[in-house]
Amino acid sequence: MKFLCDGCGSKMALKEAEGFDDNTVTISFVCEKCGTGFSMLANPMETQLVKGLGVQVGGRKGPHEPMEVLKGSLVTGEGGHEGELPWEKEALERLERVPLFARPMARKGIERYARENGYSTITPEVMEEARKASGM
Amino acid sequence: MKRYRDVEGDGGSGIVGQVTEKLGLLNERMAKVRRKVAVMSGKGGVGKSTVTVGLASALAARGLRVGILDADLNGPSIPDMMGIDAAVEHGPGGAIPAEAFSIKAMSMDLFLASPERHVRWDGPSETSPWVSTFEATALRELLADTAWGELDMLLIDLPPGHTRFNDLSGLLPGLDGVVMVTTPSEVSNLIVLKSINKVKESGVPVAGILENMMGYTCVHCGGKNELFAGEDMREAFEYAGVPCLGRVTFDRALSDLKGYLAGGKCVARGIFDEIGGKVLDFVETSKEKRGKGE
Ligand SMILES: Nc1ncnc2c1ncn2[C@@H]1O[C@H](COP(=O)(O)OP(=O)(O)O)[C@@H](O)[C@H]1O
Ligand SMILES: [Mg+2]
Repeated sequence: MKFLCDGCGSKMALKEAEGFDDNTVTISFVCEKCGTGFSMLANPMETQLVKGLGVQVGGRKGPHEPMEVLKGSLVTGEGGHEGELPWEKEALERLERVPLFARPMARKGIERYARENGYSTITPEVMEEARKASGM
Repeated sequence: MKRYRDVEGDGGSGIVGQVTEKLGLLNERMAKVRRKVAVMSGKGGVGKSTVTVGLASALAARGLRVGILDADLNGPSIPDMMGIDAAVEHGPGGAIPAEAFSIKAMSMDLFLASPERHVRWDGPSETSPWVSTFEATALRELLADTAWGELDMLLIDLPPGHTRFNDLSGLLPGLDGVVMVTTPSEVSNLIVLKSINKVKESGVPVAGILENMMGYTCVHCGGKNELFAGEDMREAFEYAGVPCLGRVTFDRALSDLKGYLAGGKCVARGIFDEIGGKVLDFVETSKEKRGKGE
């Protein structure tokens, strides 16, 4: 996208781009001939499109970073852990009946149920209740 | 009024230059990969990922340096199938691919904190047109920013449908061919015929069709049975201008790929080797043709 100064017919120059942190971006342009300026305020959708391309508005600052978009925009699930609840030995044994790949999901579901219902430790009884509550 | 082409230069961000630079990095990386073949089908669940691993293993057994790119961004299954449970590590030359059974692998799964996590992009809404932009960029990064090193073959396991194939063929003009996977059911065969036409239109050569789950051997009586009520498609495939590369039966040993990779007994091993050989021959021939500008 380029911008043209209607007053003097020349191309506007990009002055600065600011934002991205709150999913919006402000880009200011100025006509180098007559000094007219304006700013473009992009909404989150528009900003996101540019981010998705892995390009930088206002030109690239600094060298190419491998996996830039994957590192910067993928929600990986790290850091988002709530405090894990303690599990009784019997409860852990029972969890082992769940196939390995489905265990993290089961664990989370049970802990969520326990938290919502005021339990501070996971016991086989809590597991049974959680299972019934989910209609299984 | 002036039009876009009347005004020289760009808007000031050098977007075209930035994109060109990224593609240059991709080309540099891919220059070290001798052959690039995608495994696809229009349909899900026909065994694309299983076939990808089966072929990779057969080629690695021939002494080739093999990598797999799991291009199924939203349903990555390669790490799990190969018994890889590692997080991605970043080195100076890019992200380091996981390695198991002498096969290098890169997948979206390596970026997620735990196996049941799904891919979610940080942004205002998930039901937006920009999600596909992120996916296309993610595919480019997985290809270009992975330190594959020198490879004799990169197999790309595609998700069902055509979107990712379009992204891939756009990114990799040097894509050597496509292996189409189908199951002997009418739905699957019909969709695979559509896929073949579409891929051919895009200019990427189709190496051939692999018919998966072609019957099974009864574990009790040893009799061979059909899984689907499909018809013999080999002649039809030939009319469509693509050979049948081979047939893989339904085999319990293949549903446990870790055991298979570890050397478990399986009749499909020989078949995958044969198909792998055909794919290598196909790539050589199509490279020669391309070299001659045919
Ligand atoms: N020839 C085969 N014999 C036994 N199981 C198979 C075979 N091919 C695929 N499967 C199983 O079928 C399911 C789907 O296969 P997958 O490779 O994930 O398909 P896709 O990648 O096309 O979605 C998996 O559970 C896989 O183990
Ligand atoms: Mg798959």
